[in-house]
Amino acid sequence: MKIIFKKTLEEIIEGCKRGDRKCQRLLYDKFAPKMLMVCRRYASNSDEADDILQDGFIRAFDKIGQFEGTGSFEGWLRRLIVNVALRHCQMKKAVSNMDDIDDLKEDIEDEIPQYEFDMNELLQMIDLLPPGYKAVFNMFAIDDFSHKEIADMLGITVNTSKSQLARARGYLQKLISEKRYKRLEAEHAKQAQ
Amino acid sequence: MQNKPNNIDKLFQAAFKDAVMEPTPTSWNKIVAAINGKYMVPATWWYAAAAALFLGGIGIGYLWNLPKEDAATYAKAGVEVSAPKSVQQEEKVKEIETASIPVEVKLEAVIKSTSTLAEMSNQTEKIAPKSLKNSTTLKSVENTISENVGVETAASVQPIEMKSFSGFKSNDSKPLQLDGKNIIEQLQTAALYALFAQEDNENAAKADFQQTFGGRLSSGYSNSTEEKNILANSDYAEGFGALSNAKNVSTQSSAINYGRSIGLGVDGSYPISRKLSVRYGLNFTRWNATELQEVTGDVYELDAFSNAQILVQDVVLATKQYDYRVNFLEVPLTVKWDFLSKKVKAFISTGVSLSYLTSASKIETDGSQYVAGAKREKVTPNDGRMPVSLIASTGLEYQLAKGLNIRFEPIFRAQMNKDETLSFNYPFNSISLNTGIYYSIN
Repeated sequence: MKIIFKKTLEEIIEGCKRGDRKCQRLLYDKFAPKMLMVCRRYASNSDEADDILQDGFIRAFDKIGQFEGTGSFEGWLRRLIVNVALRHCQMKKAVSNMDDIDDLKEDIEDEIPQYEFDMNELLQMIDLLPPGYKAVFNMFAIDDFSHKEIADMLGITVNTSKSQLARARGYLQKLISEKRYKRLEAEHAKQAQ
Repeated sequence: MQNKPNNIDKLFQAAFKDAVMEPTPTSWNKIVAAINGKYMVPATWWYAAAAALFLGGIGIGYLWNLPKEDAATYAKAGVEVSAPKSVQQEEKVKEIETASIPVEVKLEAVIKSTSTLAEMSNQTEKIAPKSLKNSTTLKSVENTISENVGVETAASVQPIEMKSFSGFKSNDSKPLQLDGKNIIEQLQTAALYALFAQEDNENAAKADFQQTFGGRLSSGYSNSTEEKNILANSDYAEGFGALSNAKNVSTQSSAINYGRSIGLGVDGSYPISRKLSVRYGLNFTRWNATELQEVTGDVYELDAFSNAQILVQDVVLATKQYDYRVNFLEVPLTVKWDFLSKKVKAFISTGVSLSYLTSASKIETDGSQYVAGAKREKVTPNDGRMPVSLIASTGLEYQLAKGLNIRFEPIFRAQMNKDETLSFNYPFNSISLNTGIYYSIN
């Protein structure tokens, strides 16, 4: 016996607005894997990411009545989850404690990194970022928030957001270079053998 | 330059934009548990607390209002009477003593009703097995498991795709590994779902499960009149002067007519379930009342023709009028049942209200204005008495903005423990209209 649900996203969202547990589960099944990865980028480990995901969905079910259906639901949910993550990881505090740099120069290599990095390696690099850099970089580079939106959500100025992003990029560039150097070193060692 | 993505950004964006991670199998169960924890306060505690407060309030009010058998209550009743206790007064005291019996009956009724409330907390447990037994979801899960487990036995190497978890997986969901552990977790989910399936049907708005705080303004009206004989079968009525032609002054009576009130207060509510909440508050109320005291008696009049004395009975010999101000604090404790809807919400509420008199004063009037030279004098009608009233209301709440509601609520009040020996009872039987702005907190 196989029962297959053919509910559209709109129907699921409407069901969630009515508090229908089945629809909540369907929504969770649909978006939880993607949102968990969002959470993981902001969190420092998988357990923390799981906690954020749970808080995020509880909040989403609570606030879903506010979703008017005009934009993308995934965008709305992602924004909500990011907000929960920022609060959970106390990133707002971390960012507000950081100074912005007026004379910051963008001296990052403008070339596509030569080596492929798998997702775990990139995740490790994000984890190494200080919380303030991590929040701004995640929001701007991956989650498509503008500096204005980041500034509003984190309670900082647009300039601070920009300077945090530049620092984050510089930090990541350095990490990428180190990884690249280590790889080259390993390849040379292999060839020498 | 920082406004557009550079290659570092692109590298990470490409890796993470649509990346997924499989949530832990227990994650959904925790969400369900958290949602139900949030919206279902452990009922037993709150029922117990509400019942304790309810009974406590009645008990305190009852104990504080045990009738006093001596004449001291008369002396404190606002009218100075020095006459000896009459036979009628003694009968009145007996009546008051017997009047405590209905209060006890009410207490028993309250105990019964609270035990019914306590039983309600067990309903979830009673409902659960039935829900599980009748749950189509669970049956579907059981059928699915029996089918798929059978398939697994035949081909145990291949993971089995389980799209048929009714209510748990969408048609585009990923294959679920039937590794035993997941089955148990899915069963747990099914059980949780079945437990709260009845709630799903209600689909109540979560906004209704909130604490509220607010201020309120009330305006009341009462047509209660307290009539009592404050002196009977006596030849003497102090304070009314010489009654030269009076014989057998039979009665000195008092009638207090309670008129309008105005009150200010705050109140809040704490949710027990989506529809039921406990309300508490503190209100300051001022009632205005007027009192008419009359001395009536039998009078001999001379007949103009025969010059004989004729007895005319029950003639009003003298009157006095007073204007009262009665200020008291009220602590209402009620349960409120909401009828859910979106913008406008109707509710009913019932409970008790404990009152404490803060001050009362009276001034003599001639019916329309204060008597020349009259001074407002303090009235002490009791010795710290705290009357208990039964209150019931029905009302409407309109959502002005998110979390902000305006409420209109007519309240009916019946005083439970009147003390007939007092010059006035408060807060008397009345109807009042409360209106207020309330703020809801998640």
